[in-house]
Formats: sequence, structure tokens, C-alpha cells
Amino acid sequence: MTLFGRLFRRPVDADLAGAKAGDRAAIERFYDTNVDGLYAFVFYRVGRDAALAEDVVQETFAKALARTTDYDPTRGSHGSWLAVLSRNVIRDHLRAHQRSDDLQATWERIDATLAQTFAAMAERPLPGEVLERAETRDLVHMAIANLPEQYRNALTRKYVDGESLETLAGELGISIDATKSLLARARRAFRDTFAALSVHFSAEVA
Amino acid sequence: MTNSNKDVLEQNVSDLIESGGEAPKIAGVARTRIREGLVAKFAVATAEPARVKSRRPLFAIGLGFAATAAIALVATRFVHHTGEVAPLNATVQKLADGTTYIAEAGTEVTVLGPRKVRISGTALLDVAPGKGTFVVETQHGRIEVLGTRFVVEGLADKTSAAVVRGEVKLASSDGEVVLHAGEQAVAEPGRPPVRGPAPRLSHLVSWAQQARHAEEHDIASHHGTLFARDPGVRSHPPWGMEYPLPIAKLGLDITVEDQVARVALDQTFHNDAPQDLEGMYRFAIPPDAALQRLAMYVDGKLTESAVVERMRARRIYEELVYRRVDPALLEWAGVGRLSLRVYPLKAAEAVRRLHDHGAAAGRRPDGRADGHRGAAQGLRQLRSAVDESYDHDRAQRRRRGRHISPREREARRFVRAARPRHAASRDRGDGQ
Repeated sequence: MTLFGRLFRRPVDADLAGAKAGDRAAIERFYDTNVDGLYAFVFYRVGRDAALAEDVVQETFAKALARTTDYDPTRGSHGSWLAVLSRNVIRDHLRAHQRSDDLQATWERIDATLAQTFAAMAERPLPGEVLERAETRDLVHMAIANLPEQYRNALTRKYVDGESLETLAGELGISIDATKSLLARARRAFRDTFAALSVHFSAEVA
Repeated sequence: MTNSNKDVLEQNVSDLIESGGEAPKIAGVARTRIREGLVAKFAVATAEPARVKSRRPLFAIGLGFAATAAIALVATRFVHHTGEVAPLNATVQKLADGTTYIAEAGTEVTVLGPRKVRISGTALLDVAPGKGTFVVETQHGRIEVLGTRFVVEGLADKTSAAVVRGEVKLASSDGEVVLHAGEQAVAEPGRPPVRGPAPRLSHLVSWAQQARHAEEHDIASHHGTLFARDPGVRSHPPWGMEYPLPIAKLGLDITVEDQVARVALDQTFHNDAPQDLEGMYRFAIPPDAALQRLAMYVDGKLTESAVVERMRARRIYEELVYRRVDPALLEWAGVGRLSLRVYPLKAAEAVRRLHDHGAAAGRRPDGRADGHRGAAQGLRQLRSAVDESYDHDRAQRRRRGRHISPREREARRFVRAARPRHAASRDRGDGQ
């Protein structure tokens, strides 16, 4: 992003305020900014059912736009607010489809993998078979989906797209040192989110 | 935590993220569909009145959009639509720049310039693309074509516009709104234009359908012919056992809903022969189209069909033909091809109408729907409906459980056979 772009960058809350007023452009920005993260969050929680995930995403956005005043910026980003809203939607859909039992087994598998993975994270390198497990990948996606947009964006470009620090710094319009710092914060956020998900799923399974 | 542990943790986090690969992403069409749905629901429902910019140089702004101007401007009445049908003698008029229009009875169209007209009443226009902004003036409003097709009505007390495809800008002295596909707006004196959804666009332009069909007669040439044959399989030189029936009437209607373009094609054929015939109607569907439904209108009542195994369907069909009950049999005839058999096509004056519902591919270069051909003839009105759904979003079709790839379709060799629910005796008695 150029300096000019950063100077005139629109505050994210402005989009929600505009959406509340019925501004089409604001609604579209709010949606475009958050849809990927919400979809990734929902996708695994509905048993990888893409069509069901789309329904949940649509319903969640509709719910959010209908009650924009409920959003409290002190409690988290738009993404985390949408994720919270999506939980009830997911629950309703799963109940309607009578799929709670199927998914329960999935959660248990994920929970076990997560516990195993996370327990070893600070002590020794993760074994290759853990990294290659589909459940691990699912958890990584879920954790990334729950990150703030700038962290998600930075991590994806660096580790998924394989962009160099220089390229990333140029695209973000910041120095290389600032990019390193951003990535470090993003990794910490990822680690914390990963841990939080572990606790969350443990509670859910229990 | 030691530095060593920190390094291990950082490395593990990096490895995890790298191993995760690309996160699942919502399909592009679904993304668009949801966005449009949200905009339609919330932008319209809570939109504040359009900004008042009475002194804004609208024409200069319009020029900025001129480069996007494309084709087809449709103008018609859509508010308080009374269902009038354009007179059969309505013809397509052409302006100097290539723009064409069809005016409803009593409508005045005044040419003010090479790309500027004044409309008092209702008209349907096709604007030639790429020649600058096309402006339609009404008594209380002004419409600038920002791209492709829209609908407009200019009355003494208000101006209305609805967009079929692309964008237009409706402006009055009290404000302006930009309308996108599927939206409509009304501008009245003293009030800013009010924008909202236009869920019945096809109905709004239906009054001009006949005139448009007269102009687009080449559509008929794309939809083939109903072949007929005697149940006794006698020869009809030079055609052999099957020969084409003359088409008496053609109607086409297209609606777009939720990313699905649906085409309804009505064709009426006449049987000149002195005996009942069996109709053989073969047609092609677009590569990505999916056949959705076959149903028949029998005495005004819709009768649904059923999907059964091919040979069983043929046996049912032959049995019903033998019993003189009205059956229809739709068979998969290869990739992209379908064959419909209907019986009977009654002799002489009888008329039997087939109604196809299809889905516009939306990929044809001319923007028209690819569709089906219909046929038939009977002593009473009989309508058969074939719904073919073309969905741009394959995932959406999978969700609905109706998506079948051509390979799968061929493998399944599905057959849809009509399953009339009416009593055989009643039909026989209907033969008159």
C-alpha cells in the first residue's frame, strides 16, 4: 500500500457505520474484507460442507448487518464478532441437518491432534507426520481465519504464497524491519489463537 | 521460556502455517451471490435518501462512465403496470447511431441529438454501444446509460427506471441514484430518487415481447422443428417416416434469479394431417446446462413427471400410447442432446402447445438464451414444461443435489417419463 493509500485508509469501523446507514459500498467493503476469514472459520465447523458453509456465511452477514449496533470494538475485530455470530447459525444448521453426531467425532479427532501438536510446540520440532495430517491443516486454517486481517494477510503471503520479505514490505508499504516485526506479532497471534482453539474445542467436546 | 524454546516455537509456528497451505475459499459465484443478496437487502432497506446535488454537472459525470456503455437499453412502463401488450403493429425504430426502440401506443419519442432522446410514455430501447453516453430525458428526470440494458418510464408526475443488465444513472433536480442490475428507482418532483429491488423485470418488459420476437425472429431458426410420425409408421416422402410440422406460434421469456437464468420457451405446432400423430422433439442444451424438470399441463393442470430407468420408461410410454393416454417421454440422447416424445398430436384443427423452461447459458455471445424446441398438437390445450436450469455456480447445483455432469448424465442414462395422473377414460373421452 502506498503512503498515499495509508494516509487515506478508511478506518475499518467506518465500513460498519456506513453499512448501518445502508451505504452499498460500505456493505460491500465490510463483506469483502471479512468473507474469506469467516468462510474458513465456518468451513471446518460444518464438516467441510462448502454449500452449508456458504449458507452459514450468508446468514451470519445478514445477522451482523441487521444488528450492527451490537458490535463492540473493545471486544475484538469484525472477524471475531462475525465468528461469534456464526456459532449460533452453525448450531441451528447442524441441528436442522441432524449432523451434530457426525461432527462430534470430527471435533474429537481434531482435539486430540491439537493437544498433541500444541503440547510439543515449545519443546521440540513438530514431527512431519503431525504436520501432514489433514486435521492439523484444518486447525491451521481455522486459526489463521480467526486472526485479524493484517496478520492473516501477512502470514498467508509469507508462508503460503512464499513471498520474500522485500516483496511483502513493498506491498505493505512498510520497511523490512517493520515487516519482520509484523510477522513476529502475527506468529504470536497465530500461536495464541491455536491455543485458544484447543481450549475451546476441549470444552466443546467435554 | 528460553531463547532456544522460543526459536523452536517460532519454527514450529512457521512450519504449521506453511504446512497448512491455502485456506479454503468461498467459490467466486457464491461470493458474488451473497454480496448481492446482502446489498439488495440492506442497502435498499435502510438506504438514506439519495444525496441532493441539484447543481452538479450531470452530463460531465456521465461522460466518465461513457466508456462502459454497452448495448441494449430497454424502456418500458413498469410502475402500475397494467399488463398492456404492445400492439402487433408496433415496430422497431432505429436512430442514427444504431440505437433501436419500440414505443408503446401513445408514447412520444423525440430525438434531441445523436445520443439524446426525450420520452413521454413508455418505450423499449436498445442503445448502440461505444458511442458515448446515451441520455434519455423525461419530464422530471434524466437517465444516463452507464452500460447495457435498462427499463424506463417517463410520466408527467414521475420517472422510473429499472436495470436488466449493467448500470444506469437516474437523476432529477432533487438527486440521483446509480442503479445496478436487478434494481429499480422512482424519481418524483420534490423528492430524491428512491431505489429498490426489481424482482419482476421480465414481467416489466413483457409488454414488448411480441414486438421483440418479431424483430428477433432468427431465434426461431435456432430452435429446430418438431417431427411427427404416424403410429402406423407409414412413409412421408421425402421425409421418410418422420416429417416436420409447421410452427404456428413462438414465445420466449427469460428471467434471472439468484444467478440462474431461466428460459421459458413456448412453441405451438399445428398438425395438418387427418390422423393423430406422435411427436418427436429433439433438442440440444448448453454444455453446462442441467435438465431440471419435465411436466405437462393437462386441461390446465400441471402434471409432474418422474425419473425412471430408461427401458422401463419406454415400456410405460408405449403402454400409454397404446391406451391413448397422453404421455411424454424425455430421453437423454447423448451429451448435450435430449429427445422428447409426445402423443398424441391430434388431427386437423387441434392445437397442442409445448412450453419449455430453460436456463440461459449467459455465455452466448449474443446474450440470448439457448433453449429448447417444443412441439405438439392436440384437441385441447396441452402444455408441457421442460425446465432446464443453467447455473453458473456448480457448487450451488451440487448443494441442491441436481448437478449432473454430462459424463455422469450419460452414465446414468436417465429417462424422464411423464406420469399422467388423470384417468385414461377421461382422456379418451376428451378426444372428441
